[in-house]
Amino acid sequence: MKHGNKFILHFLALLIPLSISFVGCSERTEQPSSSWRVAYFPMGARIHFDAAHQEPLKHIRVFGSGGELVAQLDLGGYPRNTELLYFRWDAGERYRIETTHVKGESTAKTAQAPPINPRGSIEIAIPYGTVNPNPSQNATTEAKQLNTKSLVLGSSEMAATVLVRNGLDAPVTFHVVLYIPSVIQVLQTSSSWHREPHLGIFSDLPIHRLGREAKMASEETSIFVASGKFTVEAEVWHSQFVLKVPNEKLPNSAQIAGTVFFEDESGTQLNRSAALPLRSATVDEIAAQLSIEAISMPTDVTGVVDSRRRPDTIYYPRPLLGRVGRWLGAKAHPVDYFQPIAYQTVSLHNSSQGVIHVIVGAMNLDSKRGEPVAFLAPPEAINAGTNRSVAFASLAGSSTTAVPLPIYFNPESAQAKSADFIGTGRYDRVIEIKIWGSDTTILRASRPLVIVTPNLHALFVTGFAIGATGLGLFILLRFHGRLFNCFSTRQLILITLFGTTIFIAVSVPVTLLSNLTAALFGPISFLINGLINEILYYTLLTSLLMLIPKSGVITLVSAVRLLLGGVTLGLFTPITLLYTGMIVLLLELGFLVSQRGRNLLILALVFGICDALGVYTDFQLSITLHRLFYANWYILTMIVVSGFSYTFIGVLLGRQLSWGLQRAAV
Amino acid sequence: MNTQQQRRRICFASLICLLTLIGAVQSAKTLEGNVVFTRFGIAVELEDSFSIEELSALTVEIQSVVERIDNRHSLMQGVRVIDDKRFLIQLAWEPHKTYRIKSQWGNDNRFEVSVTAPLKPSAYRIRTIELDDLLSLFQNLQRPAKSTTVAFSPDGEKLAVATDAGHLAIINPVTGEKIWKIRISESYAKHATFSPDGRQLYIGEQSTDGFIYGFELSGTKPTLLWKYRMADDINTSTPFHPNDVYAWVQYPGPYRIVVTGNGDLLVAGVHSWTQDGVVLKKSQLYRFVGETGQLKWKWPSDQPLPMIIRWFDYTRDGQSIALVYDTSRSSPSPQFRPGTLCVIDGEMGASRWEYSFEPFKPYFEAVKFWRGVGVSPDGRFINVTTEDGRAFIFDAMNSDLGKVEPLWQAGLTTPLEVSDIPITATAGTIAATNAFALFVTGDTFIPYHFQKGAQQPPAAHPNGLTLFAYKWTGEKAWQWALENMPQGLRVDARGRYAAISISKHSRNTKGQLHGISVFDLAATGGGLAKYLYTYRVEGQLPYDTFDISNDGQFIALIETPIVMSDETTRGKNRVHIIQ
Repeated sequence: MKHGNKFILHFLALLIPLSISFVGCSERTEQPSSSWRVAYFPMGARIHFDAAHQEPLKHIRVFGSGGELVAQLDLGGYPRNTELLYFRWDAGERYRIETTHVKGESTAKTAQAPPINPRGSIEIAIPYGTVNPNPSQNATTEAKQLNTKSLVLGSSEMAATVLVRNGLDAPVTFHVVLYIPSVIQVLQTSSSWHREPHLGIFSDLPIHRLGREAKMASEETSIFVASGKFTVEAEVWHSQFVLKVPNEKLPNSAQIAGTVFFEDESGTQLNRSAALPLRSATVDEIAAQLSIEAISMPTDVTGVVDSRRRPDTIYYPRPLLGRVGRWLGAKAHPVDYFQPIAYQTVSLHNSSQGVIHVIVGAMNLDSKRGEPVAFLAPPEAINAGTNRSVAFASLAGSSTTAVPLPIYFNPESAQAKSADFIGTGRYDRVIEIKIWGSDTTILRASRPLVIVTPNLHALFVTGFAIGATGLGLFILLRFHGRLFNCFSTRQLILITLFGTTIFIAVSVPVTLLSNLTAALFGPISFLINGLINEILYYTLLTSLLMLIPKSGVITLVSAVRLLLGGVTLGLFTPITLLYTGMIVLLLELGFLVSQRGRNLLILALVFGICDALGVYTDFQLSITLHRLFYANWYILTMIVVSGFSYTFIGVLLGRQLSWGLQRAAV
Repeated sequence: MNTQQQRRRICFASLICLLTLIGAVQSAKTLEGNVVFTRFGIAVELEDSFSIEELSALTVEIQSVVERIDNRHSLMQGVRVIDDKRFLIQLAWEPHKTYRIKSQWGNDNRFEVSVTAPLKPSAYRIRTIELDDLLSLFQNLQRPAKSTTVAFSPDGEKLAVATDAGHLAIINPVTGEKIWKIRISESYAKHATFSPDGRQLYIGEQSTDGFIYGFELSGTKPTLLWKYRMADDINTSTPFHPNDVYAWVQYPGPYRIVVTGNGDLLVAGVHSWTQDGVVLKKSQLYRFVGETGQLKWKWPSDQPLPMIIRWFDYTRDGQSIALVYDTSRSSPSPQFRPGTLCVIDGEMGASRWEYSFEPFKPYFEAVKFWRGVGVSPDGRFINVTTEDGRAFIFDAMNSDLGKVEPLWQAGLTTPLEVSDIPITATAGTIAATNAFALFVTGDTFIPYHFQKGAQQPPAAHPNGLTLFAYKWTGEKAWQWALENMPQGLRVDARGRYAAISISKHSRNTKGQLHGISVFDLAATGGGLAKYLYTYRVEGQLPYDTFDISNDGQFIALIETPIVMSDETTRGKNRVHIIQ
């Protein structure tokens, strides 16, 4: 019996889970947790999903109270934050909204429609379209209060917008009544508005239907009335007011209120109201709260600074040599003037507690005439006649917001009449910050804009260096026998010895230490490097020339140095070759001009000038071949100090060294 | 047999019975199929497949429970098999009526269900067809090809899909079967269309030559009937970077290819390129005999138009053609004024009348168009939109008699000025039926250029992202707010159904909607009554890559994948066929 009971227990243990699974399979009562809510709007219902909702849905369905399907939205994937289901709901009716997961599970909610039929709405905004964000939970009470009110600028003109949306009934006539505090002057309205001294046409309506805004209609409030007719459902009527805000601070209770009265053909009436609380501040107060922290250019579209590019500069690779270049087959780099050539990013800091909506505009002006530069304006198709790049920004309180703005470049604009037009030069980028809705500029800043093209001067010098080096190499290879015949074996050994010494004493240390000195001394590291690279080099070279005062010594010793550097240190680069070719040519000529060093001072002076020219050539080669940019002061300092002065000193020391060597040899 | 063994046997038998019962109950609970009410009837989806041999015996009986009306359909009468589990039944069902559907095939196969029709039809996906292999999209891995055009044959039995690498495939839209595939060239296939009898296919490429091809489809393989080189008229050019992904923009190509009712082909050939730093434009409108490729006329007849023909529309009999042209520069020819609507005699190719629009100053210095011209199929009216947001209606008949003036005009999305900044919205997508002038407005269009949150404009233009329908008298008939940027508008040949592709390139999947919104233009009531559904896809819908069959029954739309911020992709390269 015991065994029998045990078996029955085992059987039941098996049976119960099976039964449960059976029930589970057949009824599908498993329901995922609800993460959405329903809100009705005139055209149907909005389903708002929580931000954390990441489940793909098959569909969303709406059923009427009788179970009939009234709307269905097939998704087959992830829903948006807010999904819309379109259907004509009945006032007070209860609808069942069901979301179905792609796997089949469903979640349902019942939501009652509003007690009155959908009949449109009224919205008032200053400025147009701004919706103050819901303050975060961490926001202070002051910030929460500030963010629920619209900011108006004292003593300035602001644009207010009234939007009336129709519901589902049409045709419908409507009357809009707008209550504006009398302290705010209405400067401009469309012709559809007229001012009413009192409630006039609505005096026959029971006062309670006007809502609480009607109670404001007193001597402290200006009343404006407009009427219209909606002929189709969901139609939108909009109108703008230009308001002059007083310099005095508005009271805390200041608001613009509006009521729209709808009346359909059967005479059924309905009204909707909206109010816009205001807070005012003067331009100075806002300007004190806003500041431009930085204006960076060039940046990328997200505002990240490109530190590899020259600040405030646009580089335009036009065809070199203009018409000559084109004749030679060079093509201009195509410019898509609908794509920005660069971006500038304005970093704005809002030190106040509340959100401030601003427009950041940038215009590029001619520095001399102060007029907009047509070829630096956005393309006509997206310019809308403003010549400005504009961005809208909602600046959160106590934060810095980066606002990138595009810069366009259209060399084919009407201003650029010549085919060779490149626009090279300096212009001004003027950045203006306005409060959205106001024409008053509260912040303004200017930065330079430089357009650069390939350096023609550097190109010519590079071309000359290439030609001279090529010619020199040709002559050297063609007549190298004659050159070596000019020297005895002893002299050639001595030249090789000096070449090796120069490589060991000059090239190796400079190569090894240049990075370290650059890190330690930055732009003035050449003063340290020059002690070895210039003074020691010319000391050794001059002493050799004193020992063998013949043309061709400089060529041979430079060749030894170049070959050793190339083989052992990998210094055999196009720039090294061209620089060596040029400096050899200059020094050989200088040696001849100085009558082979008969007068030491003349030799030092001539070698100083030659090396200064060599340094200049080296810069031009770097500018052309490495596309580097140098400040003029840096180039000049290098030429004067490293090029001329150090060489001059080196030559003088070389003479001393040669005397010492001659004495030792004797 | 002891008691314990007996008990065990009883328990075992009970367990078997229970399991049998579970199976029986579950099979009884299992739905045998599902029914979806579509625009053209009912789609039946069965859980079990049926064999092809049994299809000939398929009969469907539909009984409206309320009215007790019986309709019997056979395979040849209103029933169309999609695959071995699904078939479509043509039925003009009525909302909220209960229907009893009985279907039988083979000897014992039955499907029977009673369903209540919903208020509106649902989007029903016939199938999706993957395009990666079909169109060899990844033949060049460095630059995968993209689908560029899709077109139904007039009977809806064939669907042509082509790519920017010149691949062209014809497929059966219902079965998904590939009929054939060729590569017409290595160039950008811009537009394709079928002849009225579906026997020829015409396709134009944007390339150095700008060829228009005519293919014969009646054989087992497509044969080239003729081709025409537009570059002979509107020149050819070599882009600065021929291998650039957008190099095709600078080649001559067809902006639109359509077929008239009598089989003639209308083509707008356009070429915009840069030569020696100067932007040049040339356009030409052609009329060919579709079967032979013989040129009937071209407009202008003596020289190409030194501007861009942005768009044209035509009466279905081909008697009247309206086109709009503009240029970004001042008029290079005294004969033509930029920003002009020109109506052409379709038979002769001569200009009937013109109307030049004045620029909407101070915001716009010149008049430009997008696809801003439509002609009512009966040829009585023309609707036009300009890029500045203005909409116009012209009486095409009266305009023949004297001075041309718009019958009606309105500023749909003309600038709304705030803080000295004009806010407008695009208004370049339009269509025309005999009943309505349709205007679709797009995204808010102000000089803003960024997707970053802080730089979004505070609000859209009040009339942006809206489909407006006007009667030809200028009275607004209805309107509907769209949920995303319009990417094209199609109306079927009967003027019954309108489809708008809505999509926008964005990685913000939580905020973007990609799909096709479909409207029943014949439904009584306003926008809410006419709006039927929006068929959603995961990926993006490229501009103008969808089509609606002539009878409005099928819609084909091309989806492309979106790369998300986490480098995953949503959507696929595929074409959706929906009803």
